[in-house]
Amino acid sequence: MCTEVDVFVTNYTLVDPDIYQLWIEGHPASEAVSILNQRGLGNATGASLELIASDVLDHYRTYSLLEKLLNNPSKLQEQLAFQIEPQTRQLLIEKYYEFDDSVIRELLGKKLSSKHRKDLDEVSEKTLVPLKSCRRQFDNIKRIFKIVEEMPGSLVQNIQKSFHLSEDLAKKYASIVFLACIRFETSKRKLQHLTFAALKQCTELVMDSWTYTSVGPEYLDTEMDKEFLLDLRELRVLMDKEKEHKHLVCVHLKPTLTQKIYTELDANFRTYSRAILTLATALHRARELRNLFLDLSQMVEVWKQSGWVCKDLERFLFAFYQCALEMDVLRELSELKATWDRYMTVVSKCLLVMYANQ
Amino acid sequence: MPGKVKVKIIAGKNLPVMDRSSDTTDAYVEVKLGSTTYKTDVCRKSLNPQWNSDWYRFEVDDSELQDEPLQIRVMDHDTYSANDAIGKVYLDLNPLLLPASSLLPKLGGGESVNNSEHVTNSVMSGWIPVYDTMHGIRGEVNVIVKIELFSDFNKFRQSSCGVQFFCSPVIPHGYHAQMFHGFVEELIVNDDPEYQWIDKIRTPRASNEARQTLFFKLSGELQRKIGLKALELGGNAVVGYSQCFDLEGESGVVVRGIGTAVTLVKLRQAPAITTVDNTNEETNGSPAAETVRNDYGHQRTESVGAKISQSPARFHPIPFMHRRSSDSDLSITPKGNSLTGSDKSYGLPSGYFSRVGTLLRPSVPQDNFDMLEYPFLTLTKYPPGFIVYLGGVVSARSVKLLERISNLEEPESRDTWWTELRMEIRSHARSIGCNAVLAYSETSSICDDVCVLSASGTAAVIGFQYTDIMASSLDRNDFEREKSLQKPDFVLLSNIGMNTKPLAESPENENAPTFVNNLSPCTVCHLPYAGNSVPLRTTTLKCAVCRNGKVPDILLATIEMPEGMPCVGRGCFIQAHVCRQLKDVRNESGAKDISDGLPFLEYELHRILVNKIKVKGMNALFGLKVRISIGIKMLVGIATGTAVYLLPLPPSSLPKLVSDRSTDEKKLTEMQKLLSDTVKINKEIYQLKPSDESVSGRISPDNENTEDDQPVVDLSAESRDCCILEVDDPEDLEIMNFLMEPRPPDGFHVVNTELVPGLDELEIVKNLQMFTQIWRAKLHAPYNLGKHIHRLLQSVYFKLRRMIPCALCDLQFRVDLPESDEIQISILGMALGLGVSQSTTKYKRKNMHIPLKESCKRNDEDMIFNLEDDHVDCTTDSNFLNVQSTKFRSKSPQRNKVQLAKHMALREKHGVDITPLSYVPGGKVERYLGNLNFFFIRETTSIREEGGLSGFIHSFITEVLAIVRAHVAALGGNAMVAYYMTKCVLSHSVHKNQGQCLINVGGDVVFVSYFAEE
Repeated sequence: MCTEVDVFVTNYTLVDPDIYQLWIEGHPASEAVSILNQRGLGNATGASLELIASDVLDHYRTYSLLEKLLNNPSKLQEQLAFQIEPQTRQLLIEKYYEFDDSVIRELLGKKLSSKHRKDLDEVSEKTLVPLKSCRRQFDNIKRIFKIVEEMPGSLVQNIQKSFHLSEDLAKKYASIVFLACIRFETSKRKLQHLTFAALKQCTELVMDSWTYTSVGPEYLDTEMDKEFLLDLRELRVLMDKEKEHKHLVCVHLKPTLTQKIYTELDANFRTYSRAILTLATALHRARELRNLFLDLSQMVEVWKQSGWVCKDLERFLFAFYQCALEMDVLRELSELKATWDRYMTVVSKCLLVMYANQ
Repeated sequence: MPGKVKVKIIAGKNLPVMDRSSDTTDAYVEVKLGSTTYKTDVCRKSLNPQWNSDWYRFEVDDSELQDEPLQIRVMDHDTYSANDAIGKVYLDLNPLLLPASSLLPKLGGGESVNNSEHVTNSVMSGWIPVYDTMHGIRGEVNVIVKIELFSDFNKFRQSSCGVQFFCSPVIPHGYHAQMFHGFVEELIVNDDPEYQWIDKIRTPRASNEARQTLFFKLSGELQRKIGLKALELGGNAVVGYSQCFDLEGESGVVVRGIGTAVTLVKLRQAPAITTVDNTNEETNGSPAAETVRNDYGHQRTESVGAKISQSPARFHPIPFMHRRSSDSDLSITPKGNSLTGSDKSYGLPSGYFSRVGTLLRPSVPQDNFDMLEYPFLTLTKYPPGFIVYLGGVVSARSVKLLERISNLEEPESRDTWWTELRMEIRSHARSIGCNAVLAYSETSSICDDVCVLSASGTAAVIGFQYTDIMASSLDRNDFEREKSLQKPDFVLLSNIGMNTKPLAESPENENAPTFVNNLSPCTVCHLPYAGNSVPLRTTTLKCAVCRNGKVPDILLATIEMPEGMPCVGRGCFIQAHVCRQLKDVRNESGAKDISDGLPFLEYELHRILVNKIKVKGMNALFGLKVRISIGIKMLVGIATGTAVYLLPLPPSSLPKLVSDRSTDEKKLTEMQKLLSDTVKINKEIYQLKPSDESVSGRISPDNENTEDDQPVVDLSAESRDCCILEVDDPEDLEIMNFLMEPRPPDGFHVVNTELVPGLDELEIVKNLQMFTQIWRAKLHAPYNLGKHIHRLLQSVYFKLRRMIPCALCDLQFRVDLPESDEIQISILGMALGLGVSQSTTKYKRKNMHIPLKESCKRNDEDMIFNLEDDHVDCTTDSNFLNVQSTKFRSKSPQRNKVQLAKHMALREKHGVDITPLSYVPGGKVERYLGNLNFFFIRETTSIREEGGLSGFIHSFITEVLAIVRAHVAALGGNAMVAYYMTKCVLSHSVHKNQGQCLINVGGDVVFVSYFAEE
């Protein structure tokens, strides 16, 4: 016997969440059949492998027909070819745009060119995610990036609107797009350990605080607040008042830190303070901005080596931030104070996230 | 008189890129109707063009409106080369020619609007997919079409605008069939463009489009002609309409249509109970009749008149004929409902009759029915009380050799072929004492130049009115007369029951109050003939309910199970098939081979079918469909049906196993035990309670008949040898396996009828999925068809596993043998969600049999009741009827109960529902917006790139459904009922990477409103 045609078509497009998931994950049909069988589908229903295969193939055919539309979810909403229940439609889109953090982590910082698309087999090997899935994720990012890159208005909302994604997923994509727009350095060896989740947290902080606060067609969500970055140079004054700053911080922290850490801080305050403040003054240069995460991770490294725990760092950063506000240089200049505020919230949180992640 | 068609092309979207260099398209649209063509401007460089055109006007004859589809072709403009076609839209204008539903004649008092101008539904607008035979759907176009129609009362007119066609094989919801006029058929023959010489030089696209256009036109023409016939008979609608294309290859294409002409009147929305008050004869029947007259006053009457004169002198006149004849002879027309009149004229001794007479009749065919050429009806469900007796299945087949049709205008040979078959059917029906054939259908199967034509239906005695039955029973034997003498008593019973309870409880019963069960519910099963008066071997037994009538030991019917049939337990799907290999001969000898094999095949099919029913422990089969397919190497017959256990019929006897070889004795007993265990288990599963009481007092069959000269004339006739199975060789063992085939998985209720008999605590609450399964494979002998059919069914269950608990209704099988070793099996069906119904129904059901039996026993004892007893009996009896009716109604769209189970009824449905059933559970069909019939062709030269044959077919069916939905939506509907797929022809060539597929689909466009929870 040689089966030539075996199709099952329904009026409302039938989507099986399990099989769809397997398709999304890039398993070929034959693999999907054995996976489903291993999960006990055959046992539970008494279905032979042949039956499962027939079902899987039906679904796979439907999904591959749907794929063109999934690339453009707005079209999926209005198309007539497939009649899909609204909640099923949402599931289809949401799952299609879901991604593996590990794959995305590999893709971050790479140019989304067709050259890189060819190299995806390396990513696939490294992450153990099927190549097909890697390609889908790559294409998804590229597509979303291209559409929203130049779009004015809120990045998250734009993604949500254009691709009908949930807010959570849209936020993830917003971070990816933002990272790609500023071309942040994320792929250096030293940053390899940073997970996508940590990066996303940091990026969101940057996006929230360091981009233009005013909205309007001329402001893009994907651009840094240039004026702010320039203003950051003014924080140089703190470097000059380092002694005063150190004194205040030390007094503040003495009761809470252990003796060992306190001595260490006392000895290295200058290094720490310099690192934070130099970063601030250099951020207006695009190159430095791009290396933001690299610089931060270098700082983190130092504390790590000195045996600080997360809590210590948190206390230090808070004191460092708080004490500067008490100093005359900042107290008098409210603008500078605001800049300091804006700078430190992001940097300290980022440092903490990265510290925890390391 | 012409109609005016106005078309406006608004916009297009998602058009394909036709100009590769600029990645856009310069699209424009050609609109064509008949010979007139208009063009829009070219909308440059846009895939979503906005034409916003002027109104294009077409002035056409109304017959042309019916025949010609509106063709909208989207083109890409090219400055230097020929313009490329993007795709086409065919719009069937027929639905727009229907009278607006609000203006249809209404029952009892709606006539005021009818005198106004013939206004139609007339507007169609929406996004319709643009379809190309080589590429599939390529974008959509937004159009508005309006029609202004001027009614034509010319008596020689060629058009039949306004005759509404229903594919649904039932009386449409919200309508009342005032009159059944009978069978209408038509047949048109044409050349198939695919086989014309010009096909050798034109592109595949041109050839496919020529074909699609032609099929559209033929379909329209056919419908128009059938409409004319319906008008001639005096009807205003055709129900149970089915249309079929026979692709005869070289010898052309034959389009056939059959249906039932009826006069429909729209029911008022008010509770039907009020109509009962219309005790006055005049108001009862005449208003509706008048409306008919208003609409179709100037018709030809000659032919009808001729028929009357030919008719044998009947006792009562044929008032309807006169009444309808013309406006002028109103004076001579007896104004009232003819039936009431004739009731009276009999002057029956009891007062009860006049009471019955005052009730509104559901649908009363006239006695002129007998004078019709063919007393056939194509509906599968009938108003209660319509069927008096069921005779059984009648079928006829013939094998013909195709040759080129020389004269297209006179398709005599094809007409003659079908006429022969119909005459045969008619004579079969008459020979078993039946006056009508119900659920009549015709099918054909073609292979090369051999063609098998089949016709089948259920012979039955239908009640024009029951006095008529009495009259006709006079010329039957004594036993019949005896029974008919009892009838007034039964009438009395149900009549009182009617007046008290059921009516009051069914305010929204669409079929209007009924005087339904004028007889005990078991009479339907009684034989319309005496056991020895027909030229068939039969087994007759006494009815287990009333102990009076005679019943067959097994009942087969093509109709749906009539409401109120006394049955217990669940229904179950039965499928039987037989495969016969053919000799390797062609042409005449091939035809002879087939012809010789057919009776054996049919006999075998029947034997398996009956045995399967018995193994299930049941005794009746409804919705029987037998389909014969011929191929080059084999002949396949497949029969499907829904088995039930009818109370009046005897419990099925266990099939006996016999073997010649004594060595197998032990094994034989083992098998016999296995068999009886299976039956026992089945009886439990399908909740068949064996009634020991009914076994006694049965007449044993007396089969002293001689050799049968018509072995397979009636499927229900052969019974004795069916009980015995020989297990001598492996082939017979295989049959055993069939008999003990596994049941569908738990949670599936599978039937091939519209409703599931005996769903008990569950009820159908909503539509889930219409599904199409197509399977095709290369097989080598032995074909082992059973295994594949079984596997396919399993795969359907498996694929619907997430829908449990669900009912699979209207399961249709189709086997095609396209190539010598290839077999194609298609299954079409509907998955319906089951919910829990109110527990009261169950409670009522439980005590339903006892009172019935009691009442029947009493019938035996004393024929004349005193009033006291009478009343008690009536209430129990009516309770029984009532229970039955609620049971059915709860499953019907009328009710929406609080659901506890998995599937909840919906308040609203997303998108367009497509269902092969004639109803939408959880919703009510508000309006019928016309029927659609599409013929699509899809061809490809890149089968591999489209995902192989499966991918090709998959996307094609998906697209076909999408186009159907778009048309439904554009007509203002939200569902299609009575959906059918009568053809799915696939031809392909793997090494050329080519494939072509033809699909014929259609159904009734409806608007359904969904109930909010009560």
